[in-house]
Amino acid sequence: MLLAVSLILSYAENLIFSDIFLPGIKLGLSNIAVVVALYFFGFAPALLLGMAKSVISLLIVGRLSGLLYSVLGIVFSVCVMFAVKKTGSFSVFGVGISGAAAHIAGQLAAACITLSSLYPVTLFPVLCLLSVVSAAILYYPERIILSFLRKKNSFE
Amino acid sequence: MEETNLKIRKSDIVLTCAIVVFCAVAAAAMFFLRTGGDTVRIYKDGELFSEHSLSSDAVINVDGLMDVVIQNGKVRVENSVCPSGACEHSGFVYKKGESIICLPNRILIKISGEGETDAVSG
Repeated sequence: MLLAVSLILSYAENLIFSDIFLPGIKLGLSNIAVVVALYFFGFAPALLLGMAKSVISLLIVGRLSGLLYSVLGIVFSVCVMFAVKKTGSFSVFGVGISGAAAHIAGQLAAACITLSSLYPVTLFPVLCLLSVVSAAILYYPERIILSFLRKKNSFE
Repeated sequence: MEETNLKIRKSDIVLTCAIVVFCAVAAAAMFFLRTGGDTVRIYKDGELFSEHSLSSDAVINVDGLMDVVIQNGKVRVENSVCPSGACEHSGFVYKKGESIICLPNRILIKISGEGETDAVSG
């Protein structure tokens, strides 16, 4: 279910945002689903969801060359979010922010591998700042969804 | 179900500020430490494809994938076959250490100059 939702979000986002902003920079709406999965089902399901999401959405867009790039990003992101969540001293906001930063780190690692060069590392600061901004925006829908799901759970 | 913390906490703010400050400092450092370069190197699949001086204008076709244009000491990409065109939107680069990266074509265009340190440091 969450997979379907995240795919739709990712596809819709591609339709809406692809031409408005700079190419390559987008909000990552589908990552909301990954964060929700991490909170409700734990580490492994969130990781699976993230990987399935990146593979299938790349198939939809038809660009398999971005596979390593996307998968490494999501794997880094989920691992770091899990670790940060585990410490217990951060809210969804902090988890999302660290996940975003890790996502960028993973993507740049993939870029380094593809290009056989360490050069992409120097892009990190700018991309990281942008990802923090988008993670901060995503916090609000995440919070609403999580509090809704929690309420529903406690009634059952 | 375990307790989920939904409200923003102090530690979140601290973490966010730390990341933002780190990135800002790193970005500023890289921006100010750069000076104009004199050579452009084009790498394809991680290997050096060709090397050109920035002082003379030229158009270099990289395996029919894109045209690299050198004009007035600056470099930009034209006519790339990749779908997104991100490399074309990168505009001109001319400072030492600056680059244009095209992932779909696996091409890296990099400016270098004399006494250049390793790419990682700057």
